[in-house]
Amino acid sequence: MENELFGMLEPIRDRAAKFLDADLDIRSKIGELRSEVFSDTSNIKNSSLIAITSNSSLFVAIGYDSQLFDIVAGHCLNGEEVSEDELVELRESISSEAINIIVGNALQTPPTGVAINISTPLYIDEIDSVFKDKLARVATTTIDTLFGSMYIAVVKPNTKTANIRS
Amino acid sequence: MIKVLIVDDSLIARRNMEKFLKNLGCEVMDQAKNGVEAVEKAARLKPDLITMDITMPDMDGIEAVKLIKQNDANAKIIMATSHGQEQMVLSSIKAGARGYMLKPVTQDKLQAVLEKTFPELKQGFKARKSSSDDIEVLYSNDN
Repeated sequence: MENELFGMLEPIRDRAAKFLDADLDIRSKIGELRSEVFSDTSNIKNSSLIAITSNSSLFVAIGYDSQLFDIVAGHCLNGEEVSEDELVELRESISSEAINIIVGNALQTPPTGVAINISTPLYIDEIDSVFKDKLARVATTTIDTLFGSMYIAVVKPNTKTANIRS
Repeated sequence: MIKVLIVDDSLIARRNMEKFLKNLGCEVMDQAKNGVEAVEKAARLKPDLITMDITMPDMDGIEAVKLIKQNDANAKIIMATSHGQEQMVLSSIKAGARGYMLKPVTQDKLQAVLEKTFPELKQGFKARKSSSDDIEVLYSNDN
C-alpha cells in the first residue's frame, strides 16, 4: 500500500518542486515521503484536491502556507492589478490550476502503467477535510521555500466509493 | 486580425491565455467555461482559432472538439491542457484537434506552438522576438 501511495506522490512532489523552481522561479527544497498526516494543519490554506482513478481511486491535495501562496498568486497574475470582486475567485482558480498542472504533468507517464483519469480540481481551502476518514491511508510530503511550505498529500479512502465533496 | 475563442474552466488560465493572444495581435472574440458553451459559441461566432482545455465540467474538451468539427470540418483547434498522457493526445488528435500544448502556457510557448501548428496563420500574428526552437511541442499537424 505504501509503495502505491509513494509511487504516486513522488512524481507529484518532484513536479511540484519544478513548478516552484522552474515555472515560478521560487527556490525550493523537497522533503521526505511520509506515511502520516501533517503534524499541524492549521496554517495550511488555499488547498485544492483532485481525484485520480485507475485501478483504484486516490485523492491528491495540495495546500500552502499563506505567504508562499501569495507569492505563487503574484507570479500567476504577472503582477497585474486585480479588483476586489475578482480576487477571491482568482485565488481559488490559481490554487486549482496549480494542482491541475502539477498532477497532470507529473502523471504524464502514469506510475501504475495504466491510463488514469484525473478529475477537475476542487478548491477546499483547508486541507483538513481530506484527512477526515481516519481509516484512509495517507502519504504526505512538504516542499520548503523561503516563503513557507507547500504541502502535498495523497489519500486512499477506506470506502470503495469516495465522495470528494463530503 | 485572427479571431480566437478560448475554452477553459479555469479563470486564471483564460485570463493569461487572453493576455498572451492579445500580445500576439489576436482578437479574443469570447471565452467558454466548458464544452457545451464551446460548441455553442464556436457555431455562432465562427472563430479563426479555438484554444481548448480537456478536463472541464459538463462536457470535456475532446467531446467538444468532435462536435465542433462535425459542425465545421475546417475549424482550427489546439488543445491547451495540463494532461500529457499519450492516450489524451491521441484522442484529441483523433477528434480533430491540430495540435496539443502542455500547460503551463507561456507567451513564448504559445507563439512557438501556434506558428508550428498553424503556419497559414503565422503572418496574422504580431511580430515578436523570435520564439525558442527548443520548446516542447507534444503534437502539431499542419496537414
